[in-house]
Amino acid sequence: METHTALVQGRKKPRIDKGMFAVVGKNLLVILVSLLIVIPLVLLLLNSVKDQAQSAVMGLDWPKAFHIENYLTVIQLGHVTTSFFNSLIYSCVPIVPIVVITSMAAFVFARNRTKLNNVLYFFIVLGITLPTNWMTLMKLVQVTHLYNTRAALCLLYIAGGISFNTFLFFGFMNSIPKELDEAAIIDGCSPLSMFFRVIFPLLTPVIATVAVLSFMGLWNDFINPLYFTNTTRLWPMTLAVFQFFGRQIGQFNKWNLVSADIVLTSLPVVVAYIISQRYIVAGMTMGSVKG
Amino acid sequence: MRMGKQKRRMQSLQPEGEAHMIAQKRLRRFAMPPKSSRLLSEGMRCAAGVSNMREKEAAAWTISTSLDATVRRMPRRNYAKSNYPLYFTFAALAFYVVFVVGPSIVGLFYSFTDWTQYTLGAPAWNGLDNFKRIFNMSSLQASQYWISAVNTVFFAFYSTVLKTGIGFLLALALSEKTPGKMVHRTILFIPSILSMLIIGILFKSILHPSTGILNRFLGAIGLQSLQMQWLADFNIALPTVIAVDCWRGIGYIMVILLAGLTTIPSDYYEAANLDGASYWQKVRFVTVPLMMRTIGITLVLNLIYGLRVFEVIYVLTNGGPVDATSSLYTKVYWAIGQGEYGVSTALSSMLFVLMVAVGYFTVKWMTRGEAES
Repeated sequence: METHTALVQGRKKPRIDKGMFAVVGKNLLVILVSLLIVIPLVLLLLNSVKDQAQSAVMGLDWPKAFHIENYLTVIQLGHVTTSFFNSLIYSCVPIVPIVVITSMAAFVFARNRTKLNNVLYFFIVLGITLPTNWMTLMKLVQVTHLYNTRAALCLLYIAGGISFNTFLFFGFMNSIPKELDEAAIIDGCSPLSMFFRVIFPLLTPVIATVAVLSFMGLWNDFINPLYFTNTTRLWPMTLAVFQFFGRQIGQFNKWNLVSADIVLTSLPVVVAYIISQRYIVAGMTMGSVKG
Repeated sequence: MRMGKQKRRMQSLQPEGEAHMIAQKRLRRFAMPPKSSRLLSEGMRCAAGVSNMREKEAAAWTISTSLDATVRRMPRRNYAKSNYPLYFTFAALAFYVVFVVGPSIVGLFYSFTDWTQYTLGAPAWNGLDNFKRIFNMSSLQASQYWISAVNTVFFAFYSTVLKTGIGFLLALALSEKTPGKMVHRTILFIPSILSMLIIGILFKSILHPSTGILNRFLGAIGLQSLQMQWLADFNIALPTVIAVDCWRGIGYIMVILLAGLTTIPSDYYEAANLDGASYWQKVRFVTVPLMMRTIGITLVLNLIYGLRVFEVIYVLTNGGPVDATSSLYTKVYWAIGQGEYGVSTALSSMLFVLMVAVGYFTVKWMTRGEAES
């Protein structure tokens, strides 16, 4: 019966009809895992508005009073403004160059499949798996006098985004008809104007995906600043939180302030996620799922 | 398409003969449609004026000579080359080579030198000394490196298996009609968008032996025997770190596998239903085989992530207690702090060689479908 209704309704989704065990087990599993994930997050939100005494033992009890002013205290104490602008620079500035140079490269790799281009494309995508040699990279950054500069981090972030984003753009290029290129060329476009006037506007969905994924990845990163800066002046929010945590927990056990700082730090990525969930999932699933 | 049509037109217009074949080959080399057809008509006009040779050969000869003259005037480029120029890729290649590949390649050489904070300017070759120090089990420091390598493999293996296994079960459950499906999906995905550093701090509170909510919960439900020094116990610390990593990564894997599941046509399940297959039989004989590519790539990418693990360990334990959770990358960081640049580079280089080998096949696999389309 189930099969028939499925056929009649023309469902495209995989349907596995299930026994009693599977139904109960499935729901139990999903609810259990969801709970496991939600509890720590709720814990964080609750404690960010408690007073210090109540939050000293981070617990799930309801706040006796809502101390929204915790957030203001954190902004004053925890280098939040400086680190916020640092994070903003690190996570926004590299996006434009990443999008432009990887889309250009992917365009040529996808359209002109010569032996050389195939090899170069493979060479670039191989970077997805490559580990970083921090020591020699630090040496390079020092030799070029970029140590302890925001420029160094931005350059490294651009470089770090090349492989995966070239891969993303490449996968999308085939869906743009080649006839458009030909039309543009016959109308007298140079390669650059063909790409930026005709092709680039059509890449908008992938550009959104690349931009959002890059933003979130860069906002969350703390390894690069850890290796390439040594002053709090240049730290992004993530590292500033970590330092704040070290200071506040070590001496005063102020979990309420630390929680508030964590919430503030996560806010931009959570907002980005809510706005552009579709693009994020599209980008993440590309590559491993064929389609 | 266009090129093909052009070729056919040429064949119908032109006489046969070997000289002509050469001419045609030359034509094809820069077969941008409008230009080549113009050339062709020029050739034909010339051919019409020659009458004292055998007709066919004369025509072909004229075409080829007049083409030669034109070719010299024209820039020697073909359609694809001139419109998809290689310089589009230069910026990407430059960044990639300078900041990603370059340091690793240079690192291969530096790993055979006595590079420390004292020999900063001019490190000298010292052969395999760095590697001997890493693999020599008798010295205390070396055995630390060895432990970190073992830990890394342990971490990579178990975190990959657990994340993929649980993620797959969740994806199966959420691909069907489940109450609150979208809510679950959203919740499960949230940890993957948060910084590992933040998650680490959060779990330091949760896993605190006396004030942490986990131990207090276990105490409250009468399971005092399960209360642990989660991050301080030598035997428990690494599994705890793996669990935290899973907490973050499961939703990500689930979303990928979920997307993979939706690409399976429902016909297969209907056929299996007709054959009277049970739920698990369908999973085993329909879902898993059809998802092999997705699952495989997910597994390998996770394994690679696991071998490079640093963030979660740095935040939670920083390698302690006594190297119980140290990984290769925390050792790289530690060695730099100690001024042992050569050893640090040697560790990175070992990982680099391993990753190039593993990555070669993985990326071949990932890009396989693309190359043909």
